[in-house]
Amino acid sequence: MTGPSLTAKSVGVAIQGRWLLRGIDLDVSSGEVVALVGPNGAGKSTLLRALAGEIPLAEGEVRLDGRPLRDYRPQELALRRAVLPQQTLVEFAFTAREIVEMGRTPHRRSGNDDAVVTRVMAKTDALRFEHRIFPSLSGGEQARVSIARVLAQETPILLLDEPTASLDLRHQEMVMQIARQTADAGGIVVMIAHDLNLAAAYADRVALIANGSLVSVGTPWQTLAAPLLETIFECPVSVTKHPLRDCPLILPMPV
Amino acid sequence: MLRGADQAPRVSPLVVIPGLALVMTIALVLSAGMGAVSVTPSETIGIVAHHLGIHLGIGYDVRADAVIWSIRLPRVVLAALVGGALATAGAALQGMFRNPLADPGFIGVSSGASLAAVGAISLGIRWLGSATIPVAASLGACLTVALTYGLARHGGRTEVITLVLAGVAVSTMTGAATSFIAYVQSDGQPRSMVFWTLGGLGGATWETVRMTLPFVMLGVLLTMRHGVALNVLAIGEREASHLGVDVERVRMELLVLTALLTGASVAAAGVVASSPGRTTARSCPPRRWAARPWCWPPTSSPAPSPRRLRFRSGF
Repeated sequence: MTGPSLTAKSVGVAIQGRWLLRGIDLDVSSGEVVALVGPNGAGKSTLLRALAGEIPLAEGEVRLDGRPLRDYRPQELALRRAVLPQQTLVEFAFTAREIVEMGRTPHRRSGNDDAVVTRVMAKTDALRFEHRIFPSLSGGEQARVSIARVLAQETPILLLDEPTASLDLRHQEMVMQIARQTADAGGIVVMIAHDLNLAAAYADRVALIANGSLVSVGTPWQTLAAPLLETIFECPVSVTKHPLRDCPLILPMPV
Repeated sequence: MLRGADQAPRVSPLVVIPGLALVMTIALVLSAGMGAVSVTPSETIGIVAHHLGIHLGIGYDVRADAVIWSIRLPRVVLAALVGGALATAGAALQGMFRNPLADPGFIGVSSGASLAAVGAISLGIRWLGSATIPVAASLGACLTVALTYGLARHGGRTEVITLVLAGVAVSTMTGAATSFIAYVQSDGQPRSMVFWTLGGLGGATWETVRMTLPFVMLGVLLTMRHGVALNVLAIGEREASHLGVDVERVRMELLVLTALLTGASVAAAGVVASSPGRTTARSCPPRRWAARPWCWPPTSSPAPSPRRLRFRSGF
């Protein structure tokens, strides 16, 4: 059986007559990490939600493994794709471990929940506070617990909205490596990244989105080119080769 | 949550549930013994055993038997049922609204039930004999919930905030209507109306217990089936739907179950304030939904034997 696939065809999303996204064509295949980059308000989160099946489409369709998303029942989707939202607000006194255990919900009948939870919490370095109450954790610690929860779902497709936002250097690299490993094992990772250098270092392809349209899709070298970035982000940049990795290094200049 | 403690106390549900069950049984026995005729706990146990056909050889006063079996025990058992029903409804709503302060009053269900009861009393409706008022109260509860839900529904979905606002609006309107009816009434009826708006377990009989039990059991068992969904909803609706929970369907089912449980409680005991639902469910965060809910009942009666009001609940 071939690996997972996620395809967006002419996807358009509108709210009260205003187009948030229009004409998005994106084809993600097994083994790929795709980074969605773009200015604030460009439509990256909207696209991620469309790929997750969260919002109704005004135009086009999204297909997961060849089937349209709307043909899937919620429980089926939960076994195929996991979503990490930008923030998770928890008002109840659940422990970190209990939050991660919730990621096992779609696998309710399986017996190895404990082993999976321990494994993913070790991966995101969250075991050290597994019995602490989630609301008492710092932003970065909560982020690592949420990522562990998403990993606990054990899905071939991961849709991550700014997974590295609150994380320190070490944990940023850790999460990107997890994404890389997931893809190398045959999965798909689509992530929204504000850090262009992280995207350049770990993504197979970068999709640049601005004003609801897909401006460019290609390898980091192709998409993260200085002239294009300067136009889209309205900020001068200098793009060179990373001294240690085979990828571009993007340095913003004073505006 | 304890001040300064960010570590969760690790007590297994296997300890908590039987422990609370034991505490509740002790409370039932003790509160049955309190009142104008004082009965010792061993006499109470002896009386109950005798009626159940178990011979423990404990002697007791015949007068005590009448008081305990016919008057107090139904009241106390009904209190346990009503308390459990309200606690379950409260916990379901807390999970649904993701707010530890939620209780059945949010969706207007108790005031709707009392409006229906008060309306039936004032119109002198007796179509189903003594079951008329309880059935009317339950219908009132269901209709109010339907109204709240219908008001809040927009584009096939309900926002939690809109549900709360609609609930507040509906309970204010029904409360006003109830007060109006009481105001307009002639002298003969207001006493039973006062009963309905204040609530109380004074008139409880085994008949009341028999009628309430199936509704409460059904409501509690069906709500427990949503245990996992409720826990997962606590981290967010989006997250819950990503994990395969059909949020809209679960919400609708829980609203119906809350109406059922609260309607049955109001029918049995008048508007036994919405605060029991909040206090009982709040003292233990709705985490272990796989376990049975037990409730330490609010035990109160309007007159002649006032008793203390005590709450606790656990899941």
